[in-house]
Amino acid sequence: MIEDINKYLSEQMKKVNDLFCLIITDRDGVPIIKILNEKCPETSMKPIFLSTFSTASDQASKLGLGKNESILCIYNNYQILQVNYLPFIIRYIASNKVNTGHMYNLHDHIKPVIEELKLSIGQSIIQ
Amino acid sequence: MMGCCFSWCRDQSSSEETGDNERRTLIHPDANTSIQTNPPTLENVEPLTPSQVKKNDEQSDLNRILQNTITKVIDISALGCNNLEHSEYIERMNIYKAKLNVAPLPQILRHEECLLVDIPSPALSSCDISDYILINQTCEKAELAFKNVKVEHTNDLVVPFMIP
Repeated sequence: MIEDINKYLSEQMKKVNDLFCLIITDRDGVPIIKILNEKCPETSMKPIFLSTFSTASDQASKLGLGKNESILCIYNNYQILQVNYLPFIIRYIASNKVNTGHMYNLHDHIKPVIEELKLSIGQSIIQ
Repeated sequence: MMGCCFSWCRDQSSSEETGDNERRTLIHPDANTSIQTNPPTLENVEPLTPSQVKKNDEQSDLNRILQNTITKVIDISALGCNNLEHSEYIERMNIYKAKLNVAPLPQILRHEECLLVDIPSPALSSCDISDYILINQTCEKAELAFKNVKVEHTNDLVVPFMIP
């Protein structure tokens, strides 16, 4: 099962140029599915990086604009899109030149698979 | 009747200044909230003395205010704190891996392993190469034949009706 999902997601990842990595984690940043290529920065795999988003998203939800759904960070060399899809958090790490809309499209495209994952293993994900 | 009309038409500021009048609510909103937060029940009426009740009320109000503040305050100092221990991190990763391995494959990723799935005993995917070539050749011939189909023009396709 895990091989099939990895294969499917890595095929979908190839549709977005300069996308280096797709990680699905739980709320605390513990990886559930991880697909990355050699260009993916090592720092982005560290627990400290992976665990920060959920706290940031929680705090951003208190700004009076409703629940925070995603956070996009643009650095000198990278673009990082983090999507709140509880109990999962989905991260896309790409080059700074990536088309951001393509990343969001990819997310919409793989949503049905993630939705099914949520149904099958969502209950065992620690929140 | 006249009195009612009079009081209705009076200036708002003057009615506030006088304090007590018929349009003022009998129960002050603040008092109302304190009543709602601590509804009187049979359990807490008799055993507690008035001073104890007051103390408990204050304590619960303080707790509620504290909880609301914690929920509403934007605290960025907590960012970057990873409360998970390494052993728990590894343990969770292993749990997720095990769950993923036994979970059913998502519907989208399920591939049918046979041709002609709509017949009762479907043919398995082991198709002989000669059959494959034959199917391809026949398809090409059929496609060519379809392309060569021509309509021979004899009469007009659109005919005017006998409209007076």
